[in-house]
Amino acid sequence: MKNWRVALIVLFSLLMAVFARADVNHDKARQLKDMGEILPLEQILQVARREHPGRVIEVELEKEDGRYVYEVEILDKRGEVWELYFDAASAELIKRKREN
Amino acid sequence: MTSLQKRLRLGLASSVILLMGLLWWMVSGAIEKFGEEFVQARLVHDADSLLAGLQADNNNGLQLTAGRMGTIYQTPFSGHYFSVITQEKEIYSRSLWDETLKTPLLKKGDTRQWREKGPSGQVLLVWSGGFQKLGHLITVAVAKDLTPLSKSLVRFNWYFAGLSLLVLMVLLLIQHYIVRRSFRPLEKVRQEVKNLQQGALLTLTEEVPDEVRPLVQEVNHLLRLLSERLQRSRNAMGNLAHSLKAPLSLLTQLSQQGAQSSAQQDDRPATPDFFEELNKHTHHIRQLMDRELKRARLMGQGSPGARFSPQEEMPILVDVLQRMFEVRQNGVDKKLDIQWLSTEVVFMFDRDDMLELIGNLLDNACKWADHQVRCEINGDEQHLQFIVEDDGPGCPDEEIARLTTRGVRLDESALGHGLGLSIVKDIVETYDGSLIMECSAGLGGLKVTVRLGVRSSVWN
Repeated sequence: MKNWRVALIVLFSLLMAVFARADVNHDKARQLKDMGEILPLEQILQVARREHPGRVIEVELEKEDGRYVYEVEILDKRGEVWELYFDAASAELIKRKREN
Repeated sequence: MTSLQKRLRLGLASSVILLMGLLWWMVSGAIEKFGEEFVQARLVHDADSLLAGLQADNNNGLQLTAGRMGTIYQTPFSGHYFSVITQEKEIYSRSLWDETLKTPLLKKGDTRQWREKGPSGQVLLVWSGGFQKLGHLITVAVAKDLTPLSKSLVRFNWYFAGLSLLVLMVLLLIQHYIVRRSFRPLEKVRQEVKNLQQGALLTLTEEVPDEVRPLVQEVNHLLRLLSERLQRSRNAMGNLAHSLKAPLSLLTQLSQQGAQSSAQQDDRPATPDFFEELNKHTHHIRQLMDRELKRARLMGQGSPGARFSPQEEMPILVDVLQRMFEVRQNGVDKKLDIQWLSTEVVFMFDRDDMLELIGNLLDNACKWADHQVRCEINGDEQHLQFIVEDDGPGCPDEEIARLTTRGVRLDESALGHGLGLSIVKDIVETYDGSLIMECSAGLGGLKVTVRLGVRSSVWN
């Protein structure tokens, strides 16, 4: 019985860990913006374009370890796609990586 | 601005700029309209797809069938957006993300179109319509970013401006070339005028462009006039010399006789006959001189020209004549009344010729008049008529017939209507005019009518 319970707890934790990196859809994004929890995407993109000039081809909002993170994919002039991660509440650049 | 080239260039430049401006306004307007209509057609098409994709969900509401719209509506701020508003909720494209379309609710059947600002500085063309489906009232709004369109419009404007500038330059260049070519005949005329001066030519060739021909014809007309006038003054000089010859040779004869008689130691004093003869001849010479001086005086000052304005010239002429005859009639109480009447037309006749003509007619009339001289000038630009009457003794018919016969030279002995009328006759003949002498019905003396026409050779 006890093993079962442990097994369930482990499973639940694993599931939590998986859900901790959950995508947030656009309906939720608008709600969050209206509530002031995150900055408008417009503001995030301004920073993104400044950090890495190019065309924005995809944007995703994720909840990661309790904070909202914008993942912005930018296609630059050389034809490379970059992923930029911003703190959705402060527009702070978290990390930048080339997509492989 | 005296340069024709400059004036033409300005005219061409302003008309090309105006034309290109108008063309630009029309073409860019049309392009923008076509672009917008194209976008609008797509928006309506997408709205139809959206409407078709709306299905009833389990809770008696509406939901959009997944994957119905293209990925372009998925990427945030892609420039393509939609928004479906029902009574319960709003379904909008993922591309809108946290932005909204400012869509008013429409009644079914209503459509509306407007522009509004989108995210990232986009300008959106929004098309919106009201519908009813599955018992729900729905407002669908579809929007597309117009920035790419206006960007290409701006690019077009630059191309067009560049093209306009190029067209202007090329046209100016062509015009410059044409103008230079067209003015080349003028250089030829200039060369001919130079040759004229050196005596190599008598008239300018009239084989020039239509625009220059009138000028050349006028110059030729002037040349003919001048050469005729020169011929006339040569004739006058010849006449004078000729008429001086006879009295001078008589005087020489007399002085030789006198010398002879003094050489023969003839103490006999010269006879009164001798002095009388001497006096007669010197008097004759003085008369001839007086006539020439008077002619010069009648011509007055003023520049020569191919226009004769009686209103300007007559008062001066009449004044000169009145004074001349007052001086001549010194002591004798003869009051001369010269009346004149004229139209205000400025005649296209040579001023010097006309003054000489009317001057001599009036001089003659004044000489013979008792008290009154009447003068009338009328006609139009192509015809001119002088009528001069006096209240003198008149002229017998047979003399008149003789005087007016063509080719007969009149001289001093012809009843005293001497050199004056002779000059008049010369001028009338050079103008192919007519000279009529008759008895004046009103005043009883001589009435002279002169009619002149502009020579047709000049005007065709």
